[in-house]
Amino acid sequence: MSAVSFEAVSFSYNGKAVLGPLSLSVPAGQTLVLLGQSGSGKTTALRLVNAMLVPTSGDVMVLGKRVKEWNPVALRRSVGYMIQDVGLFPHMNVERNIGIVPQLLGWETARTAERVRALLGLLRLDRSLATRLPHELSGGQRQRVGVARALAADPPILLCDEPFGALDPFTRAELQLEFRQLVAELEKTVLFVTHDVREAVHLGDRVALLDRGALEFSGTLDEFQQSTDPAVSALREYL
Amino acid sequence: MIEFFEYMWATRAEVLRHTVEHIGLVGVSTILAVAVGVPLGVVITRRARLRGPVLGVANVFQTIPSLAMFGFLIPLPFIGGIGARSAIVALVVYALLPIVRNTYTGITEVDAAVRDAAVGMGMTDREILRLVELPLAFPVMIAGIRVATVIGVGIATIAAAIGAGGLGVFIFQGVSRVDHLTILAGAIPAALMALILDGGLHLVERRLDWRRKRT
Ligand SMILES: Nc1ncnc2c1ncn2[C@@H]1O[C@H](COP(=O)(O)OP(=O)(O)OP(=O)(O)O)[C@@H](O)[C@H]1O
Ligand SMILES: [Mg+2]
Repeated sequence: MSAVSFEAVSFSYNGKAVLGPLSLSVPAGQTLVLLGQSGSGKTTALRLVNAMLVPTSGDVMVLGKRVKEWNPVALRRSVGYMIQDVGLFPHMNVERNIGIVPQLLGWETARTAERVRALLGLLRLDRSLATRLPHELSGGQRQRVGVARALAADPPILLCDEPFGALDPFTRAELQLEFRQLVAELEKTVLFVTHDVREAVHLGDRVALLDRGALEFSGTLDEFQQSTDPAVSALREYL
Repeated sequence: MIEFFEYMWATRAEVLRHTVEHIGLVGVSTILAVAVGVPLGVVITRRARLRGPVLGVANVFQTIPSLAMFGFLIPLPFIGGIGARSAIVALVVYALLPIVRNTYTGITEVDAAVRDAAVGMGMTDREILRLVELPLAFPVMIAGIRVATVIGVGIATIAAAIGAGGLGVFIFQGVSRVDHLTILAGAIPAALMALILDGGLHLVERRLDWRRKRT
């Protein structure tokens, strides 16, 4: 079963078409990596999933229900969202940042605190960091907090918009490895945006390639590795 | 100098009474102005069409000479008349602009990416306001309240002209009798009060600044 699917979805900004028509689906428990150049529509595609944007035509389905039939607030609380760099709330410490969605969902404080402790452990963040503000952390620690926050309410789906883009290669490789293990273990369905081909083959079960808003290629990782599509073989040069 | 302290000591009961009146005028009017101004500032971040008119009116209020404002209020029913009520209404009107403007600016200056993340977490508009925008805007809002308070201490001295009491009583008496000691008995406590309130609110502003605190 697909956890997320795009059914002939198009999107325009003020009449200017930037995406689609796009048909694509992500089976539950798998990671789909969205590749594409800057401006190809990757972020746009992600934001259609959590109703931050509304398709001009077509439908996005999430967990068997059309996005337009979801209550946007409820949808966003059941879909983890990770954004590069800026995503954390600058005035909230690590603990509050991680616990924000549970708080919105009205969890009891004790339960939230316990969950935050567990996530700090899971993301190998030292307890002593819990009371720090985001600007008092390293880039890698901030991204770990970002991952922890996206996982906090245990959403079945995660949307990741170049979450590791700003990291040095070492931290990046480390986080990629941990992230892959984590989502496999927790059986999350993931849409992961990147323009790094290595990251794509490292994390993805499936790969989709966007080119100026159109789907150039979509398939499993094996299919991506073997495709004779010139755009795909050109990308493989970067591996 | 010694002359001044002797005068203050001799009239200490009156100085104290007018100081308390003055604090009352400024305190009550500032609290009311915050109660009106902050919600107005928030509303104009949500309804762009109201922004021009609200800020425009607050701006015009600010340009009315204070003595004229007090004068206009005297004949008005309910909100006007002789005494503290008119004075408080006038002081609220003057305090509105810095409070509304800074609330508006503080909220609109919140990083769009942070607001975007809040939407993405599934916050409702009210939650974004309460958990993200207001806390981030707080230092700017307090700065506006500070300005309003200091202006209020000065303008409240003129309230004595319509029988609202306060330290202005000394100043008007002093002016009519050409007696500088009496003028100073009003002016110096008022200046001190402005300095103390300014400093105190500056401390609050720093305490509430998230960049300086771990919460
Ligand atoms: N708010 C907006 N208004 C108008 N056009 C926009 C807006 N946001 C994005 N676009 C346009 O839509 C297109 C797709 O943008 P999108 O952000 O989805 O690209 P992307 O693939 O995520 O790029 P990047 O890798 O640089 O993040 C681009 O041409 C962009 O200029
Ligand atoms: Mg993008």
